[in-house]
Amino acid sequence: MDVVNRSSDTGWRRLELVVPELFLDRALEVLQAAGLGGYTALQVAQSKGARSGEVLYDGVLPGSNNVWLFTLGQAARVELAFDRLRPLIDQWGGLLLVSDVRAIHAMGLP
Amino acid sequence: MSVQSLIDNFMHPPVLFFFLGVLATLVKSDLDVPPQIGKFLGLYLLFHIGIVGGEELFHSGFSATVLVVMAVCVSVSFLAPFASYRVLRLRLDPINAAAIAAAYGSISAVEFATASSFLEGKRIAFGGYMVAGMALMESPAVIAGLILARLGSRKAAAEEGKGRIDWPHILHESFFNGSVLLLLGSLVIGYATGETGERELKPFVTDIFRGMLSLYMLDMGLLAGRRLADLRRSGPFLSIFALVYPPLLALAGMSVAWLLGLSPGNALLLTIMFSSASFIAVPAAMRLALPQANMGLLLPMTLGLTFTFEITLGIPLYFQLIQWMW
Repeated sequence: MDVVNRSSDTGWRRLELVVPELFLDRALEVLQAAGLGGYTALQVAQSKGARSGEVLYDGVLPGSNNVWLFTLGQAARVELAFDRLRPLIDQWGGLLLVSDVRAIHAMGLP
Repeated sequence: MSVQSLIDNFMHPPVLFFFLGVLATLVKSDLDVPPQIGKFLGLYLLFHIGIVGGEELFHSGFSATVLVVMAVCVSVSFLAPFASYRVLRLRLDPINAAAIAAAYGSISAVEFATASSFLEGKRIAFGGYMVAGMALMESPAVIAGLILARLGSRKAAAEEGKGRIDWPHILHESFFNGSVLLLLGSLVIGYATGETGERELKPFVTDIFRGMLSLYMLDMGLLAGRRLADLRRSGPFLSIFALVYPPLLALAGMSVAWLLGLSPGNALLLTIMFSSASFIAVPAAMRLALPQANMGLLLPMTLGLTFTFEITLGIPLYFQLIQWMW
């Protein structure tokens, strides 16, 4: 499927999260409940934030692995997920952002 | 403790590799243990402790002493956080005080392995059932920490309309987290397979153990070195707690071991179980249960200070005291 609209809003949003890996499952539950089934998650090698300082992936200590996760969805679903994730990010630490999508090429998007 | 015995303790490869790791971070070397290798070494260590403990248990069998030691371990793991929590609350909020108290109620498997290696180096026997006691000390500490956090923050949570703890999830994590499951599983397998298992696994379990422990300690040194830099954030109160509280628990452990009539080897392991602090399994469970808990406070204390103190000065000092007392 292609959604291409280089001049204005496509109606799709990209949601990105950086969270400690310990909370990945809970974040995925929220996304699923908001109707965002697909996602891509990657291990973050190194990151730095205001709350935990520098986070280096060591594979051993808790809180040392962050994951970066992104997903795409129609605006209403992404906004719903964003609102539900906000208080959790306040607890867990991390980063949450939503941005517009100008073009998508992917198979099986709803 | 004589200077010579202190030097003797340093002259063990695992201890020296730990300091090599710390040195590497201080001089900003690019020396690194890949994360997945670090994880593998941790698994190997738990596997080794469990299998050897099971084999020893197979030879010694169960007795009243074994059951009493296990009961003591569970009780201490549950009760100790209540004492430390009161001290920590002098400077910390309920959530962080509870998370740190739970970590100090539990044990460090790496420190236990280092103490075992110390005893093996001196050809001093110890019982496999101590491993079972150690494995039982993770979950009660987590539960105690959650109770403390719940009680401590009840008022604030009620005001904010939140405060619900997902007990099934947390209990599952505390009883079935990977470390506890591997440790207990290996213990049961070591016990069930007895001499056959001992013979089959000897090259992997016994012969290469010290080399693997040394590599793991190198990784621990690297991690501790990085965490030491975070100590400024913890402040002097928590640094003093991390250095003073464990020896006090060690004295309690020695006294209990003496009352139970344990051998010097077992007494040292029980002392270590009282005085060491968890920096992997319990902090992970507490972070899950209490997401607001700040690992930037906890890990520099448990790994950077307590663990470093215990493996360098603590183990030989405690053993010297045990020899005087017995």
